[in-house]
Order: sequence, then C-alpha cells, then structure tokens
Amino acid sequence: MMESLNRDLRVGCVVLAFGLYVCWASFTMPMRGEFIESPGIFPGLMGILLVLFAAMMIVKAVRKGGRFHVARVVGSTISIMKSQEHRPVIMGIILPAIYIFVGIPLIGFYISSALFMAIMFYVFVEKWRKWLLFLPIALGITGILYLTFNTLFQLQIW
Amino acid sequence: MMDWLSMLTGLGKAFVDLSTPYGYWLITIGCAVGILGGALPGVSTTMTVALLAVITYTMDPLWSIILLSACQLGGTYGGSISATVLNIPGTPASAPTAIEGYQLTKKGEAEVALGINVFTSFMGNNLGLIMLLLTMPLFVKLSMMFGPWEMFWFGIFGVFIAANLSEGDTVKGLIAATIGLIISCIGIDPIDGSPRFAYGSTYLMAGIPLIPVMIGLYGFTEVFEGLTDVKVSSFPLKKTSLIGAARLWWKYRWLSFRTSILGYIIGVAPGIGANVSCWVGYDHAKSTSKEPEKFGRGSIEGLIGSETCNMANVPGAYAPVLSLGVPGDAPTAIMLGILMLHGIRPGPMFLITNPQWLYQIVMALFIAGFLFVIIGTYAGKGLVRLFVSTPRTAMSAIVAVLCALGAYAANTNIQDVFTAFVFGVIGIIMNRLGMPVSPLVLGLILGSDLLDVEFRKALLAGKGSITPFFTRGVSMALIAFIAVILFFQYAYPKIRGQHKKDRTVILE
Repeated sequence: MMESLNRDLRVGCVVLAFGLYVCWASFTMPMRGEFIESPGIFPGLMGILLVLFAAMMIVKAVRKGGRFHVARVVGSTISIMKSQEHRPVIMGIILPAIYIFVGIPLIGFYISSALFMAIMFYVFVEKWRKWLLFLPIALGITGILYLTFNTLFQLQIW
Repeated sequence: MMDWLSMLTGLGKAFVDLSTPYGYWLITIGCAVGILGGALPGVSTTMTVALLAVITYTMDPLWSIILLSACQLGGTYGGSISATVLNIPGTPASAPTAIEGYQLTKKGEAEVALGINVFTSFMGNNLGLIMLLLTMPLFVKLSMMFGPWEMFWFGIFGVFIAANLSEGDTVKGLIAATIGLIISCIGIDPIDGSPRFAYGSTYLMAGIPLIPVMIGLYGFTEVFEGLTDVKVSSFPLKKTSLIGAARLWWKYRWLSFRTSILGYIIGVAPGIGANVSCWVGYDHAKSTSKEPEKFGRGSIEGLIGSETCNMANVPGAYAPVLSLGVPGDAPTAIMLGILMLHGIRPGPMFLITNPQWLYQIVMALFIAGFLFVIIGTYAGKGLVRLFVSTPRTAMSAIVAVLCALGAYAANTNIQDVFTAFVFGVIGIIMNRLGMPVSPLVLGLILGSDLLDVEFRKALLAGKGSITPFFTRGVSMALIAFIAVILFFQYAYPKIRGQHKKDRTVILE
C-alpha cells in the first residue's frame, strides 16, 4: 500500500513536469493570427489540465502518507530489473524488441518472423523441443501468413 | 430518408445486396475471425478488428465496414466461450460471464451456460439493431442541430466518461485521457497548418497513426504480459442445447429487454464500450433479481444481464459514428480510421446522402448474429480444445508477429511497427501503474480532429467568446448530462455510503 502511494507520488511528479513542458512548448508556439487561432491553444489547455490532475494525484498520495525517497528511485528500478516476478515481462519486451528493431529492418519481415517464433517456441515451450517441433510450427505459421497476406490479399510485405 | 416505407425498402435492398457469395463469405470470415480472436485469452476484440483491418485497405469502404462489424460482433460474443469454460475472459467484456459461467461449468452445466451465452447474445444483438433503426432518425435530426460548441461538448463527454468509468482511480483515467489528447496534437495543425511537437521529424509531422497505436496498446501489451503462463484446466463438454437456452431466456425476457436498452444507450455514448456495459447489465440483473444470493454461484440472470447488455452495445456504437463521426467504442474508432483512409468522414449529412450504409450495416450484423449462433454452438468445443492445447507463451509469440504485420501493412512503413512497439511499452507501464489505457486511446481519437478543431471553430464563430459554450440549448443539455453522471458517480454513493466497485476478476 505504502509502496503504491510512493509510486503514485513519483508518477505524479513526472506527469507534473511533463504537463509544465507541454504548457511552455504550446504557449511559445509561433502564431500567424490571433491567439484563438494559435496552434498552441488546445495543447496548452491540455497541459494546464495535466498539471492540475498531476497535482491532485500528488496531494492525494501525500495525504495518505506517500513520501518521495530520491535514493530509493534508482534502487527500486534495479530491483525491478533483477526480480523474478518481473523477469518474464522484461524478457517479453527485450526479445520482441530485438525482432522488431533489428530483425525486420535487417532480414525482412517473414524471415525474421520465422526466426523469432522458432526462438520463442524453443525457449518458452518445453514440450515443442521434442522432435524439434518448434521449427516446423514456426515455418508453417510463417507460410500461412505469407499465403494469406501476400498471395490472397495482395499486400506487399517483405 | 427515415420513414417506415423507405426503411423497409432499404433493408430489403441491403439484404439482396449482401446475399451474394462474396457478401456471405465476407461476413462469415469476419464473424469467425472475431469469435476466434475474442475467445483467445490475450487477444481482445479491438485487437482482432485492428489486425483484420489490414486486409481492408484495398477493399471498397462499405465492404470493409461490413467485414469489421461482423468481426466486432463475433469478438464481443467470442469472449464468453473461454470465460465460461476456462474462467479466463477472452475479452474484458466477458468478465461477469466468467464469474457466473464458470461456476455453472464447475457444476457440470457448461453446455447450459454456453447455450445461454449464445442465445442471449443473439437476442441482445437483434434488440440493439431494432433500437438502432428506431432511433437513427432522431440522431440524424439531433446531429443537424450540433454546431462546433455541441461537437466539442460531445467529445468532452466521451473522454470524460471513458476516464470516469474505466478501471481504477478516476484521476489516473483523466491523466491518461489528457495525455492522449496531447499526443493527438503531434503533427500538422489542421487549422493553422503549422507543425506541432514534430521536432523536425517528417514521420511525426504526419501525426501519430491510430492503428499502430491501438495495435501497440491492445496487442503488444498483451504479448509482453503473455510470457507469464497461466495454467488452465477444463471440464468435459456435452452438446449445447439452443432450445433449452431459448426457454431460459424466455423466462427472463424482461430482464433481457431492460439490459438491452441499457447496453444500447451505453453504446451510443462515445468511448465507453462493452467493457463497461457488461458490468452495468450484470449489476442491474443483481439489483432486480429475486434470487440475489445465486449471484457468484452460477446465476442465469447474471449471464443474461451481462451478455444482453454487451451485445446490444455493438449496434449502439454505430449511432454516433454514422451520425456525428464520433466513435462509440474502440472498434468503431478503428472503422472510422479505415473510412478516413478511404477519404470518407461520416457526419451530420452522411446518412442523408448515403442511407444504404445504415441498412447494409444493420443487415450485416443481423446475418452475423445467425452465424455466431451456428459457429458458437458447433465450434465451441473445438475452440476450447485449442486453448487448452496451445501454451499461452506460444500464442504471445504468434500475436507479436501478427501485431508487427498489422502495424506494417497500413503504410508499409517500418516506423509504424516501431510506434506500435513503443506504445506497447507505454501500455504495460500504464498497466503496472494502475492507469487505464482506454481513455488515452479515446483522447487520441477525439483530440486533434474533433476537440481541437471544433473548439477553435467555435471560438472563431463566437469571435473569441466562450459564452456560447454555456448558453446554447443543446450545449446546456450535454453539460447537464455530464453533471448527472458526476452526481451519480461521486455524490450519490456518498449519500448511500458506497464506494467505487472493484471490478477485478480473480482467476482461480
């Protein structure tokens, strides 16, 4: 409970800072005509609202006992990275990130997809390691996707 | 346009136009894919519609909407299958169904629950379609009275409701909605033509694209969560009995009528969707039941209340999108995005000049209703076997590939895939912080094109004055409606000594 309040307090501060930046960036946008025609008026108002809501979140967290511990921010980030509970989620982000940011641009969509699925099936699905099942399943799914999207629906995806 | 004779003629013509091999094939594919996507845990209806939208870019716009609407209907129903048999809601809209349906499954009455789900969903859809046809003339007349002030308040109403009724803290919902509104401002200002928050990037100058964002928030987020494998157990299934389900529905038909009206009204309000209407229907069933002690133990009334409400929601969502160009929920927001890709922007005059759109969509949803009864009755067991045999981690990998494909296919731009991934990371961070995603999505949809443009048009029309925002008749009605919502959300529970209900579904 206390940890979630402290977290809300930290998040509130980040959102407050973001809101202030949006206000500054919006109200300093160059105007061609009158203020009511300004491109910054709407995002600026949204920035003000964001500052207001962030302040509400901070006040609520402080009233319930939340505190901002600067030293714990780094510590908690490292503990999240190391914790067993969060490890599947972190792996679930890193592996698709490699697939999307490295695989697809370098070797194309279908080859990288087949490789990605084969690796994911091998690592996370133990029963598909027998008879190397992960390989034909990954290739089969990639083949079906190719036939469906490139052949049937004539989309140009490589 | 909307007298009885022209309505019947329009519906008849729509039926004839759809009764071609292509028409039936399209509706069947849409419905089947929707049921599969809705039934699969970790693949939501919105995500299924977003992924299926990929193949509609080269299609005729009306056929695109027919395909996607059948998919939405199938997906909204499909979530009830895994909810009932596995206690895992396939979509958030099936959360109450998991509570009651799984209890029936544990008692050996899974086929009774599945039968109730399919028949009740069928009736909810049909009741919603009847209300759509009856109320559409009123919406068209109302939309002609809407000026930029009213459009602004309608958009605010949608964003506000989405933030208020979403899971968790309301302030967090409002923060998510405001961030969505700010993100929508990235790109070229539609009135002034100046770049906003583009920082010299040509990609950002085109604005943040909607479909990759939705794929990221609804798709990649589930992929990241999906590596936490959930162990499922299932029970043997007998054949589903529709006649038995029909008899049970008839016993509680007045509950079904009432919850279908509630579901339709919620569908009409922009940005809410079936995720909320299912709980409204469930709460109504519980509060009006003569056997409230049965709730949580396999209540038929609970199933009927929630399923009718969330299915009537689907036709309701088309009312604002066709009459005002404002989406009723996330799937209709995707359909609006597809229409805009084709250069079509629905609005007040749209149905006057294109009445066939309403009739074609109504008829497509009507036909799709019969299809999901057939598919749900006969393919339900096969779907359950598929879920139990496919590890969730493998499903996550396949979904990741589908998400990348869906994000890329829109503009064949790899940066859209990067955008989808980034929003997936944003989505999972928001989940961990207890911040709902739906308000951000609605803010993104309604921000720049609607709220920003209508706000400045209103200021220009009023020569800088904000008084018309608060003095025009329809504006005052919308403000009063927001005030009533606020009253029932905050003041009324304090008077009654209640708190905002926790909607968390506990998986056993």
